[in-house]
Amino acid sequence: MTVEQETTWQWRCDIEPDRTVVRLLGEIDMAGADRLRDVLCKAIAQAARVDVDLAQLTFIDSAVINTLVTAHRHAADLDVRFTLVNLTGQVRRVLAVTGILHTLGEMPSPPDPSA
Amino acid sequence: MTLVSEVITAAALARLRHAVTAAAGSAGLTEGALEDFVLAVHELVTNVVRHGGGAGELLLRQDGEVLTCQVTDRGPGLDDVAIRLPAPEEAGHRGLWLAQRLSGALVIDSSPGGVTASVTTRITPRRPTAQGR
Repeated sequence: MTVEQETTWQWRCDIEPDRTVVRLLGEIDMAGADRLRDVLCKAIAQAARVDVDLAQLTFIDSAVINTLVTAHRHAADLDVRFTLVNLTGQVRRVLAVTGILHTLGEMPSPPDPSA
Repeated sequence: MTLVSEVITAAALARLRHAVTAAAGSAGLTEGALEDFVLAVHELVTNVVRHGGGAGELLLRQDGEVLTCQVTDRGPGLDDVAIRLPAPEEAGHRGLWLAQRLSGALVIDSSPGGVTASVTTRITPRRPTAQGR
């Protein structure tokens, strides 16, 4: 388990036998998007299944949405299952309104048949 | 009435967001409506940081039940304002779409001297015993 501090957010990564759970806490915006991309890419490189737990994430912006979409695509390329779980409040609404919840949200996305 | 008047810089993103949240919340905006307005403003602010020369000004005003947040920069101006929602699997460029979708109105005025963008929302008076819908 690793714990890291950021200005407005932090992340925690639990490596379990069958999956890695990345928990995001706080508010992530454009300023944290690059760091988030690194955290997610590292998890994707090390597991066949990555669940990103957003229960304690209270704010995201379009830059973070971009990072999540990119990470999901990267995971699909590597046959890694990448799912967002426990979405609440602002995070859930923003991902729903942009149509991303359906693609990346709780129902695990099957591997892309065209890949 | 001016509620917030601040200079925009890359380092001030979170501080500005919190200032707008506090002021709009005190003005009576609540829950989802508050979160949506704050994100709309935040997207305009990040646009200034990314495309508007990196610095600008934020002005949050209240006129009766109407909150207006105006964001100005002195960048090169926008060539083309495409407010389109990318497909879910596509990366990038949802900022202005979100600002438009989440606020009552988005107005963008671009000139060679910079961009002025504003979002507006209406405060719904609180119902003291509101339960259910």
